[in-house]
Amino acid sequence: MAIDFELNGESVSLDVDPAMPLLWAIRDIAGLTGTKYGCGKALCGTCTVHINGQPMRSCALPTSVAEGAKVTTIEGLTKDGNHPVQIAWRELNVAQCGYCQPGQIMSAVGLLERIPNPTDADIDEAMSGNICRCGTYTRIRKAIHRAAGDKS
Amino acid sequence: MSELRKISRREFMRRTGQAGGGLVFALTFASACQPGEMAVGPAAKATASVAPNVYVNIRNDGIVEIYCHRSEMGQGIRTSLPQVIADELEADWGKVEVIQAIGHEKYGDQNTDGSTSIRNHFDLLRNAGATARDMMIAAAAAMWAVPADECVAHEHAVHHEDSGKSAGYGELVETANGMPQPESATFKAREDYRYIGKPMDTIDGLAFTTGRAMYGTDTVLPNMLYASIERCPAFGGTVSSFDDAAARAVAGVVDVIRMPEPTSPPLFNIQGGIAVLASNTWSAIEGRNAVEIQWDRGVNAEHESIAYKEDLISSASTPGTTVLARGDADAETHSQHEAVYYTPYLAQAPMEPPAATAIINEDGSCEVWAATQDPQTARATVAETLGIEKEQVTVNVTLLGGGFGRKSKPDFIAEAA
Ligand code: FES
Ligand code: FES
Repeated sequence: MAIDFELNGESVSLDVDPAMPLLWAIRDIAGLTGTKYGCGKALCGTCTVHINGQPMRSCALPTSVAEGAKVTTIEGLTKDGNHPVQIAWRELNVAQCGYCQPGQIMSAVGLLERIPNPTDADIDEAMSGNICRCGTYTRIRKAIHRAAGDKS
Repeated sequence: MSELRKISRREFMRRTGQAGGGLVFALTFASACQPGEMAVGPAAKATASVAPNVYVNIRNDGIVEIYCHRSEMGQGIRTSLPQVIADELEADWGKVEVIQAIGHEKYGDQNTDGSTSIRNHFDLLRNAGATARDMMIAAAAAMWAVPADECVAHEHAVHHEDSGKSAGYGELVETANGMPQPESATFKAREDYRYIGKPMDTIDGLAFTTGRAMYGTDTVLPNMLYASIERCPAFGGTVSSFDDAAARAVAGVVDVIRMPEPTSPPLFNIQGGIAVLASNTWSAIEGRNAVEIQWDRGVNAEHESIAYKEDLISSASTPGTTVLARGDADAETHSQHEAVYYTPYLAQAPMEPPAATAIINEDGSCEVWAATQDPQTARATVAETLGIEKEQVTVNVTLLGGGFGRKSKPDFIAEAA
């Protein structure tokens, strides 16, 4: 059964088992490998994508929930990689191994859309589901402030 | 990607799951193919180049390619290693391209384990940069018929002060090409460093922030299959029987295979189990969940952490053998403290599970793409597993989504192959 939705601004029709987690439909069927697999159990956040603007864990959602929705992955966030969050991430060299960062960035963008000037507490709360095994948390927090326009 | 050509090659890709020994991997039937965007070999942009040594290749378009022979897992080696070479080479950072080296002994030690890449290779890297710089100087001196010691290299070019001549590295490639490769050179003075010891932006910043960074899980070959391996719950156990009927009924599942039995001691060897191969990861996982397996739990059947901890504590409190005795500890000690320190089993738990993709070519050779800390051992182990020569195996090193020592063992790469 085909599932129709908008993926990074383009309409797609993916012929997949509706129960297949969206993560695998995006990675294996649509061929976009920017969204990562870490745990498959909604515990690490590396698979975070936006569904209608909301950050969601794609590993734990059946592809059927995407029907008719707008799905955005890290590849679709911007064409040139120049979203303020992406720029702040590079300016502060947030990434170490980088594997968790697509998920971190998608969560951070979702946070800033909801709260344009988040406090440390807002950041900690919104980002708490995104694990970074390299421990880049302090730079992530700084980069979110930077992307929010705070130059500190 | 979707076009199906003559069925002639096999490909595998696989990933382990975190808990429960779940494992995803892939195998495919496809024809000759190259994964896109892997940036593992020299780009074909320039028409000529000169390689003063295995770490440096200077192209006539002025780009300096630096081969990073150590694996990147978040420690920043793809930036810091080229920093050292580029500094001695007097290269402009903006004209440096970093290429990840394949596993090959010509690069020396590639086992990226133990936090020693810069510590142990600093002089080697400086030498690679400095000899390349001297080769550029020698080429310029020959081109202008002036003594080499009157020429200096600076900002990606060689200059001759008396005549006012300058030539960019790209322009010197043709002359440098037949010249001998210098073996040693003098190093720069510490105070002249431009890059070494200076904060630099990570070379992979754009890739990291746009989803373009390629990890072991991200290799895609045409028509490749994905696989997931169910492991024995007790390490070192084996399959006594299994029923794959339900697994084969899962849509997308292509095959179910019994992996070769693990040999003891495990070391770098493959770990056995039942592999489910499918057209996508989800089907492989679903298929794996549907396989019914009876295990022979093997030597570790009864092993459990609490009893093991007690074993360790009791063996640590048994008087040991004196290896070295100096002075009289009892007489000279004024107070004594006693404590027992215990560290439980630790999972390295990299964010990216161990992952590898393999293709077996028609001529029997094998090419793998893997998140490996130790590509030379991976190469040797794959060759041994397949019963082919090491020279028939190419190991491409992807980025590692964390390594922590786990990815220094090539078991998962041999399993993919
Ligand atoms: S892979 Fe989805 S939360 Fe970990
Ligand atoms: S940067 Fe390595 S896991 Fe976050």
